[in-house]
Amino acid sequence: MTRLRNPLLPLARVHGVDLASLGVVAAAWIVAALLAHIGIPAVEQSLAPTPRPMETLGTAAVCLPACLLASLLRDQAAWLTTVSPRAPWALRTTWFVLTVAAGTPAALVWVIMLPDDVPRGHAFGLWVLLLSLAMLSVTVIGHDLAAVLPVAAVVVFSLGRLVPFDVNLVYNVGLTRDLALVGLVSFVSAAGAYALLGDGRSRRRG
Amino acid sequence: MTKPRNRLDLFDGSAVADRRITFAVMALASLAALLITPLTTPEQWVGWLPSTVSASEAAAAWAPCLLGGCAAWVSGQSRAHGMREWASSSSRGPAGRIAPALLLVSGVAVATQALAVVVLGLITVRFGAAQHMVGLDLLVSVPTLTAYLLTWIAVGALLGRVAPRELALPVSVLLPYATYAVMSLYLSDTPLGALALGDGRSYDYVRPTESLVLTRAVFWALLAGALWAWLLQRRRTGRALRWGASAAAALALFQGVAIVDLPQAGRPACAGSAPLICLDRSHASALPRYRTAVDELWPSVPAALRPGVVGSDAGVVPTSAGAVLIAPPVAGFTEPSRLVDNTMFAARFGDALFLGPCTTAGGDPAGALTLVVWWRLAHGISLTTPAYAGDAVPADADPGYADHLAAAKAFAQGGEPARQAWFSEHADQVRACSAPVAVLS
Repeated sequence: MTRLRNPLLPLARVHGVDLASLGVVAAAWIVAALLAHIGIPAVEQSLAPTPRPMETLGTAAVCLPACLLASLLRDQAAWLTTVSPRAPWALRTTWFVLTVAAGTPAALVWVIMLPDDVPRGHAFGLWVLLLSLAMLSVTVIGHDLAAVLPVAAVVVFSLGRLVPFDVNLVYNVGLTRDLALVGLVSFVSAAGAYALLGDGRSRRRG
Repeated sequence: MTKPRNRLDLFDGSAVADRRITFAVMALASLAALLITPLTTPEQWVGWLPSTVSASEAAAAWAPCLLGGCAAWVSGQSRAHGMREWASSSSRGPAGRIAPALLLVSGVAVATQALAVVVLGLITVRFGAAQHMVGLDLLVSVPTLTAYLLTWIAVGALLGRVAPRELALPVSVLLPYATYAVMSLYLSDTPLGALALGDGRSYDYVRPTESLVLTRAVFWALLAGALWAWLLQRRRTGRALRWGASAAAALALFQGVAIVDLPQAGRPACAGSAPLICLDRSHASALPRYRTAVDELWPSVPAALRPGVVGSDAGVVPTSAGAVLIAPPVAGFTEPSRLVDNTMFAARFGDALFLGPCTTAGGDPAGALTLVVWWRLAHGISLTTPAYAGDAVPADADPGYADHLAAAKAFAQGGEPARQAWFSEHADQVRACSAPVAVLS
């Protein structure tokens, strides 16, 4: 039996990662970074311009890389995981950690490229929250519908005064600590749910 | 077990267990995107048809995103479930395969938009729009929004067909929003802004010209038609519609963002006596609510300071009817508003009564600041958080706040006759912003 030179490669293949999908994720990051620079009226108009929350367009744009990265959690050969001598949860956790690790440097570059007056910590917290929601979507619904939860969250927090500004985690830069807490909780739940359940589509397909 | 059907169906092979639930979810999302922004800001539009139209145009922000996403989801069913190759060999052509997706989501869009129009129409009429009917032709904006939604549904359906779903879904959501943001808000001062629907302008005193409203409607209708014709492979129709859309776009670009004044909207509309209350025509439907709010405050207004006229703006009040107090109705972030928030208005009224003279006369505001604190204590209004949008919070804005709070509390504990006597004695000083800090002897 030939030894695999790089054990990561088949793991990546089985999750549908190739040059094209990585290129799409990279392009999504560029779109997100560019759209963050288009200034449009903020959700809370009575606020002074600095420090301003990221505008709605920049916030909506982050959903794009978040969804595409989360969709890499797909399992194209779920039976391989099932019959593997390794524990399925360990395999899934490894892949989850690798995906997040691959996304983090890009997220940091995006944070650096944001307009000057956007609070960095808040923006990174938002990224963690949206990525976690997208990954939860993957587990609960399926990798192809990763957009459902993050888009729903962004729309709900952006629409008029649907969410009172005092509790508007996404746009109220005074709530960075709460955002970090909610982001952390959703990240841990996304990781746990994915480790235990895996991609919703492959799970249901059996 | 479900009953087997004898022909392939749009949802075959998909994870859609119950299509009624699917439609309900789509309709709810669409209704929410169409209605939430207007329903959370009623003070900006109820009772004035042009503003109702501009408020309903706010749906151009998120409704096409959600509906476009739905269209991408429905049209991508066969692709997402590994049936793309099968579908391409089906007896239905490409047009026949995309048509159901277009029709289903458009049906949801048209039905929910009709419902939203009825809801907003009933609300605005109930708050008095029918008595001050202006700008009926702005209702052309309703079919414009429909055409706008149909355009993005076509784009979503196309994306769902050509791209993998994990890409098609977020892109079909983001694309309409990015277009809306760039066109309405970034390019709103350029000729391209003429094509934008819902640019954040409220039609309180201004409106787009009739020809612009009409051109915009024709442009979006033709663009939606051209996209649909292309997707449904009606080539000749599509060509004609493309030419038409391009001509309409040119016409709109030549007009630019043609915004004109609404005739009469800024004219005064006054009612009642003791005090006479005045708003402009644009806000005239709020006169009864404004009246009630003023009447509720009236007993607590010191008799010596009671104005003869309460109005929203110096431009709408007659100067012949006695002393004038400019205290517009407020609610939400709006001033003058078409609904009145009693607590906000009480705070606004007190500020106008005591601090108003200080903005023009420029005396010593210490006495006025004390009276503001007393007024807010008397009406149970917060001294530490903004009572209305733009409120200078006494605890933050007043350097002598602690002293003024103590003086106001002492003033509040004094008897009503003593207070009235104090106000009679110092009325002229209060009106000149030179009243001393109130102390009851």
